[in-house]
Amino acid sequence: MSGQPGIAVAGSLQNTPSHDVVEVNVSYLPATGPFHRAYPEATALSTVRADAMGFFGVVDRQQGRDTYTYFFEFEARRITNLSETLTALLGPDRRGAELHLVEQITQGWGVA
Amino acid sequence: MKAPYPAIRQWVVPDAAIVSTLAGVRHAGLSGKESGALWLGSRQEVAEVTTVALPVGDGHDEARSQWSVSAQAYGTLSRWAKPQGLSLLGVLHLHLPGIAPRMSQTDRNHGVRAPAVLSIIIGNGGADEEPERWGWFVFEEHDFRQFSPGELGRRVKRTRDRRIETVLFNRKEVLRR
Repeated sequence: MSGQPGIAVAGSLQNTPSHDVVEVNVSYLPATGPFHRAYPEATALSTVRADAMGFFGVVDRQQGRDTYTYFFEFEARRITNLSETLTALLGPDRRGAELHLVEQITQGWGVA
Repeated sequence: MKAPYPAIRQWVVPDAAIVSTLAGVRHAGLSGKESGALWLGSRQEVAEVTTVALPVGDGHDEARSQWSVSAQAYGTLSRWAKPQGLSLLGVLHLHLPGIAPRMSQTDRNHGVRAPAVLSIIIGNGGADEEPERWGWFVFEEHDFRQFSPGELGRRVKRTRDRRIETVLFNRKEVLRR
């Protein structure tokens, strides 16, 4: 393994960190533990979000004109562009990402 | 990976959590607005509420017909809570006088729909101090289900414990009270 960005050797992923792979942890406040998976760095955040939501058993939903959506938060900012790749989010030299799956809670009697 | 939602047989709720929650939300009820709080603790078979989290400032919106917690504030709370092993155990909110402590469609669809997370409705704008008079619901399978009085007595254990942490949170930070 050369350690140069973008070079990965097939079969070596378990023993040597590959620069093509990003270790992703996603936390969700109601859950006890995080979702964890290694992704190719070119993976879109929409893919990670779908996998994490599947793990946590939550789905976006619609009520009337309102949509209830789950977001990613990364380093205190909400991610709005889910077509962004892990590399674009993290930069070329980051090997891991700690994301939080978040939601806007709305409770109310008079809301349609 | 471990299963994300260990089953909860019983919730332990210290009196201090009740007192802290009511102290945090009553001001809104008195001014004719809805408000709420989040209960955190270690999620396990017997799950004790150890932290009351009150959104403040830009972390939430209190209005006559609804209360909301912003996703950014929720994220800030999550970043603070997770390293301490805390999970969300329940979401509480007020209903104003004249509105029964039952879940509306908005409460059901725009609440936290994760297994065994409680949704608790404090009636009468916070003037109902006895939790037995509140609406207690638990999310199971695909929707929330209300506890019967008997089940509430069995599954929610009150303690006189005064040790509880109360935190205030907004979009940027979590502050110990």
